[in-house]
Amino acid sequence: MNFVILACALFALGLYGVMSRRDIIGVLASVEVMLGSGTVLLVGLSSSMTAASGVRPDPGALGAIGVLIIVVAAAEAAVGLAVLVSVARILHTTQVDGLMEVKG
Amino acid sequence: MADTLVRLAWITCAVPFAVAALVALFGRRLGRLASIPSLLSPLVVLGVGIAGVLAWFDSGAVAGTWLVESSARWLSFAGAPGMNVGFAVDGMTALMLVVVGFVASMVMIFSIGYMSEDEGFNRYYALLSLFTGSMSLLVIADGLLGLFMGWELVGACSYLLIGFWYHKPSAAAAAIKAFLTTRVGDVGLLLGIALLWNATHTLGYRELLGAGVHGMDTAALTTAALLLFVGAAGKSAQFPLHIWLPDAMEGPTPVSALIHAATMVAAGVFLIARTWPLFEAAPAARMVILAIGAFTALAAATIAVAQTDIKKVLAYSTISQLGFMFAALGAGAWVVALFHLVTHAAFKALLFLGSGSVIHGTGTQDMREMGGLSKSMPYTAVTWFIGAAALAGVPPLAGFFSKDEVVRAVWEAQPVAAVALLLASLLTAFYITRATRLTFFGTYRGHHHAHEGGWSMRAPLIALAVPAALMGFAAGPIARLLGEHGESLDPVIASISVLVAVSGIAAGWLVYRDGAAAEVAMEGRMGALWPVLRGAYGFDALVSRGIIVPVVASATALYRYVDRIVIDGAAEGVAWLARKSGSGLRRVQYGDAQWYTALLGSGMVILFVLTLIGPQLTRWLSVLNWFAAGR
Repeated sequence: MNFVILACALFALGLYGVMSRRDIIGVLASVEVMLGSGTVLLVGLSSSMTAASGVRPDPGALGAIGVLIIVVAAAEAAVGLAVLVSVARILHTTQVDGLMEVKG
Repeated sequence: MADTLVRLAWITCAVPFAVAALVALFGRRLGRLASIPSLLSPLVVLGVGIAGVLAWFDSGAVAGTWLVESSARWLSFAGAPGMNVGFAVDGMTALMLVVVGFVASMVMIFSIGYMSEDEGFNRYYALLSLFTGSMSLLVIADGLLGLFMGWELVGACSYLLIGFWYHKPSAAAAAIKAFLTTRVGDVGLLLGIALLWNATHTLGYRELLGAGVHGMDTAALTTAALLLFVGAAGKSAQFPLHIWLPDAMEGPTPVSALIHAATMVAAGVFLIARTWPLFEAAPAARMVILAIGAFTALAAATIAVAQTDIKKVLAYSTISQLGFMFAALGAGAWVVALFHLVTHAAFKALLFLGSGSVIHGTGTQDMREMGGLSKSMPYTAVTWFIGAAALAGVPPLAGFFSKDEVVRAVWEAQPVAAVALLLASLLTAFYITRATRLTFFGTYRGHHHAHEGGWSMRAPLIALAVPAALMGFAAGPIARLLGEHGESLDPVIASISVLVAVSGIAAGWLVYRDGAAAEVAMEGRMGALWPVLRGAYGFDALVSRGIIVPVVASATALYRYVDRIVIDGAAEGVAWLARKSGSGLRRVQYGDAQWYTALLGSGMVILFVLTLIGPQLTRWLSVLNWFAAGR
C-alpha cells in the first residue's frame, strides 16, 4: 500500500503549493503535482486491487486511463499557460496577490 | 356559390381579425388609404350574410334546422370531456350578419370623411375591423361559449372606441364606466352559462335548447334565464345598468352609430332570441323582462325629452327603443323583437350618422347652437327627416310596422305595459320632433360656418335611408328567416299608434315653433321637473353615492392597511433580510483564490477526520450516555 501513501503525500504537497505559492507559475506546477498523484494512485491500483475484490480489472484499461490523464494534464497545462501569458500582458504581473478581480 | 360561402362562414371572423392586425401594424404607412383594406371586413360579413339568407330560403326555411354546423372539441385533457366551440348558421344568424355587415360598411365609408383630420386614423380602422370580426363571432357561434367570447371582445372594442380620444379625461372616464357597468352584467351572463353547463353538460345551442332545457327543473331554468337577462341588460343598457350608454357618446359619432345604436347594444336582444326555448320555459323570468323593458322604454323616453346634446337625445332614445325590444321579448314575441332590432338598426344608425354630419358641419353637439341647418345641409336634413319619422312611427316607414307589432304583442300579454309603451311612443315622437326643430329649422345660432360633408359622408346617409324607409314591408321575409310566419297589422292598434305618433309630432312641432326660445320657455314653464329630467333623475349620483363611494372607500382601506402593511410589509421585509445578509456575507468573498483553496482543503480535511473518527465518537458519546443513565 506504499503507493497510496505516496499518492496522498504528493496530493498534500501539491495542495500546499497551490495554497501558498505567490506566483502563478508555481501554482500551476503544484496543480500538475496534484494531477500526478491521481495518476500514481490509478497505476498502483491497476496491479494491486485484484486480490481484495475478487474481480480482476484489465490492467491495460487502467493504464490507458492513466495515459489519458497525462494527455489531459498536458492540455490543461497548455491552456493554463496561455491564460497566464494573457494575464501577464494585461496586468504586467504574475503574482497571485494582484489577481483580486472577483472580490465580492 | 351561396352554399360554399355559408360553409366558409368562419371567414366573417378570420378576415376582419387579419385586416385589423394588418391595419394596426402597417396602417401608419397607408395613411388615409387604411380605410380601403378595412372595408373588406364588413363586405365579407355582408356577403356571407346575403349568401346565408339565400341558402336559408333555398333550404325551405324550417325552424330549428341549421344550414351548416361545424365544431371542434376544446379543453379536453386529463380525462375531462371538454366542450365544443364552432360556428353554426341559420336564418337568424344570416339576418344578423346582414345587419352587422351593412351598418359596418356604411359607418366605415362615413368615417373616411368624418375622421379624415384625425391622427389615429389607422388605429380607428383597425378597431372597427376588430369589432366587426368580434360581432360576427358573437353571431355565428354555435353555442354560448363562442357567444361569450364574442360578447367580451365586442365589450373590449367598445371600451377602446369610447376612449378613442383617450387624452380627453371625460372620454377615458366614460370608457371605464362603460366597461365596468357592462362587466356587472357579464358576471351574470357567465354565472348563467355556468349554471346551464352544470345542469346539462353542454353549451351548444342544438343540445342545450333541445334536450338540455327539457331536462332542467323550473327553478334552475328561471334562475339561468334571469342570469342571462342580467348579461343582456348590461350589454343592452336596460335599467338599472343603462348608465353607461349616455356617457358612451364620448366616442366618435360613427362608432356610436355602429356599436351603441345598431349592433353591440342589440346583442342582448339577440342573446335572448337565440336561447328562446330557455325563456319560453321560464314564464317568471319573462315577466321580469317585460316589466324592466317597459319601464326602461318609458323612463328613457322622458329623459330624452329634456336633453340639449343631440347625441344624448339619440342615446336615451336607443335605451328606450331597446326597452321596446325587451318588452316584446318579455311578452313572448321574440320574432317581433328581432324585427324591431333590424328596423331600429337601420333608422338609428341613420340618425346617428346624421347627427355626426351635423356635428362635423357645425362643430358643436349642443342643439341650442344649431338651427336652420336644412338650408345649409340639405342631404343630411332630408335623410334625418326619414330617420326621425321612422323612429316616431309614421306610416309607412320602418319604425311604424315594428313598433306597432311590439305594442300589439305586449297588449296581448300585459295591457298596462302596452299603455306604458304607447306613452313612450308619444314621448318618442315628441322628442325627435323637438330635436329636428331645434337642429334643422329656425335660424342658425352657431358661430361656425355650417357645411355639408363630402360624398363619403352623404352616400351612407342616403344608403341607410332606404332600409329606414322601406324595411317595414320586409316583415314577412324577416319572420320567415326566423322560421316563423309574419302577421298582418291589427287595424285598431295601428290606428292608435298612428294617432299617438301624429299627436306627439304635432305637440313637438307647435311647442318648439320658436326654436331655442321655446327651449328657454320650457325650462321656465316646467320649473323643477326639467333639470331632473335633464339630469336623468339623478340616477348616476345615486349609483355613485350608493355603490361607487362605498366600494372605493373599502378598496382604499384594503390598500392602506392590508396591502401596504401586510403584503408589502412581508415583501419588503424579505428584501431587507436579503440585502442585510448579502452585505454581511460579501466580506467573506474577498477574491483571493488561494484563500478559497485553503478553505476548501481544510473543509475536506475536517470531513475526512470526521469520517475516520466518527464511529469512535459515537461510541464515546454512548459511553457518556451510559454514565448519565447510570446516575
